[in-house]
Amino acid sequence: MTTHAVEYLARGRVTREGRLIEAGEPLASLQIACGGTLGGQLAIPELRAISAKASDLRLRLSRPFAALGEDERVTGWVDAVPTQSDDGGCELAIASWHAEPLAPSDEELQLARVRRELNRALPEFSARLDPRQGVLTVETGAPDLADLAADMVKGIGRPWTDFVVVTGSMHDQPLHWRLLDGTACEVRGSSRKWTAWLEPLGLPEPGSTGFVLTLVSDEAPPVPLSDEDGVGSGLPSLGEELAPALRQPLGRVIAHAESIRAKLAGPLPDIYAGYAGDMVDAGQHLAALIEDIADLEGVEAPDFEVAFERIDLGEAARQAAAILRAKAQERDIVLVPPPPGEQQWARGEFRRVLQILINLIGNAIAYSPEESQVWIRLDRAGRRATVTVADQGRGLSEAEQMRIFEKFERLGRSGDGGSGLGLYISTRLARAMEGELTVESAPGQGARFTLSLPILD
Amino acid sequence: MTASRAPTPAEPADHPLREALARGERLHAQSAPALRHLLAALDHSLIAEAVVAQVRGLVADLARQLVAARSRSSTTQALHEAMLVRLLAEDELRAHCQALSLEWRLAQALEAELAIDPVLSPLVQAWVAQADAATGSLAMAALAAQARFAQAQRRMELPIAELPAELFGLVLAVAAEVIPEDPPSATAHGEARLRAEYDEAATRLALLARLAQDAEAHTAKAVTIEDAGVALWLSALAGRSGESRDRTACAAADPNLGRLLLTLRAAGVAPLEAERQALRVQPDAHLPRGLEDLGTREAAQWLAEVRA
Repeated sequence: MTTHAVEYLARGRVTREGRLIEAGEPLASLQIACGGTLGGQLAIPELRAISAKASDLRLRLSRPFAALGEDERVTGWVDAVPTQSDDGGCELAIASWHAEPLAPSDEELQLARVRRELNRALPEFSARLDPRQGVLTVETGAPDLADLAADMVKGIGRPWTDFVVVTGSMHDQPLHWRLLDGTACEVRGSSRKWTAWLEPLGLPEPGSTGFVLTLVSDEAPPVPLSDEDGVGSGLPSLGEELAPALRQPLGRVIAHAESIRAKLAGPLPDIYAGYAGDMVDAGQHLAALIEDIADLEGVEAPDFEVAFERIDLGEAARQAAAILRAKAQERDIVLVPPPPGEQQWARGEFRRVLQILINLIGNAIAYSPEESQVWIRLDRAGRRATVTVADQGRGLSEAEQMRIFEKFERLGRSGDGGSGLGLYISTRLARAMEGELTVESAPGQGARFTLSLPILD
Repeated sequence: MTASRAPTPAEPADHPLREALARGERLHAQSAPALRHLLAALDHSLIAEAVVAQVRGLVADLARQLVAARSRSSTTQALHEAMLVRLLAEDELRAHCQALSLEWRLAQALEAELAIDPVLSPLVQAWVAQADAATGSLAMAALAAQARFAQAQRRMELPIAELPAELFGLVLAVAAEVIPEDPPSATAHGEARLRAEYDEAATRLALLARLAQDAEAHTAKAVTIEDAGVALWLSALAGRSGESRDRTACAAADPNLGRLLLTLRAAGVAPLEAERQALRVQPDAHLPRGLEDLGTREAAQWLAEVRA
């Protein structure tokens, strides 16, 4: 048999437990670049798999491998030979080794861009730094970062790292910005864990005109306890206390899932994009539910009041229709609001009436067949001014009409993102304005929801 | 010779003739759909008659070698049959032998049609002659291995030592199950010798893959079939696309060009060139459209999705 003499570049020895106990260069450097140590577990994934297979089969293997080093991509060829003594280990002999510098891939560039945008959209703290990372301006909305902002304002010009504790770093500060980008830090006065991101400004040398520092935390800001709630008020109120705290993390879940779904960070099997789409839907549902419950708590509070004013139901109907036009177009539904100029004056609170109409028109869009029409009509009956939303949906039976204004009533629907609270809240709002919300319908005939309010001459 | 007749059992259901009848009936029932399938697929190159025969021949040769290595006694015909049946039941081994047969058929077809030598391709020839000692010696070793492969395929042989390590381990394990220790010391000795002599680095597939990897930085010729020759071309395509070499060989023999086109694209071959090469390999096939819009990464991803 013809064999060809191989000159090996490096050798290594791996124990039965997978520890790399001997390694020549460049194998040793790669082991360290992959996060391993000499004498520790073999950290180069493909070499680890090959040596495990050689030990299992007790056969001499000869295979290609690839690995990512610190800033290079390595491809090579390795012969793996089980040790003679049958101790379960094997020897590695590197027969070829190509290293090429690691250029950032399209995905990585795109991921970096998405990350930058997210950080810019969501920071609770941002500061502009000079090229030496000294603080120039500070901006924050988080109460637990107020002390930090105040300290920085007093010490303008000093490096930002003087004001926070960069965890896990024992070097003199400030370091090169790349080493600080994405680093964890602690802030006096805040119990949350923070991540600092540095966005370099200026070309061609990034950072030559300074940086934008943002601090991001995965934890929600602490909810300040107001005095009135005091001790003994029972569970925290979802509407007033939890809703603000939930909005931000939920918003972040939705934004991240949305970028996964849209494959912003690179190609992805469709099935995973589908999962991310489910996460977006579920997140949006939760967000809507939180808003609804917050509204509900407000409406049900004993001190709930409306500010009465002179309002034009025609104007409210046209505005509501304009807001929902895009949503209607998605389903090829035509909204027919009262023509401009048509007025019906009533007594109520404009934004509450708008809220009710948006709820009614939104329902009509959601439960009407595609390519149908939704009409919004004004009228007057005695001392009441009315606005009616009529659709061409499947209509409601008598029994359903009785139940539909109840809390959490879904009429058997599920999975469409509704909370079952919208009509209940609208009814409560209408009553608070001394008005009423009624429905007329028959199966197959569509439904007509009418809001009536006291007239104003 | 009445002595060889077995006594008739008391229970009629166990009568040997009834058993034989039932066995024959089952075989008959199975043969009908198999025959229909084979007849329908006569000119389907993936399971052409010649391929089926070649796969059986290669596996039978493996069985023969295993029996010879483990057993000294002369009553080996039955053992050989049992070994063959067990080996044919191993999916991965069958797939590997099918891929080798398809590769060999393709090499023969291209020799007849395009005068591409199945052993010595222009690229390998250039490397053997070139100054770089390491590549030259590697190319020489691969060339010798390829020559042995051509010879062996013509004889329907497949040396055990040419199997990839996983399959080598598999056939030894099957052999240990099927073949009784005979005598124990000799059997153990036979297996130990096979193991000790096995060196994956010396197999044709490892040599070709290394050569393809060395070539990777240098040339696009390794993924051009007229330059590389079928053997190196398959290894280079597999190495660059992430597909296994066996799957790549099946793709090249499949008259549905989709998989081959995607493999070529995933290996970084430009769309037009990929289509040209696919038609070289399967001149009568229908060329699916849409390759020009497809990126290499997308192609690799689609292939990975089917694999999973």
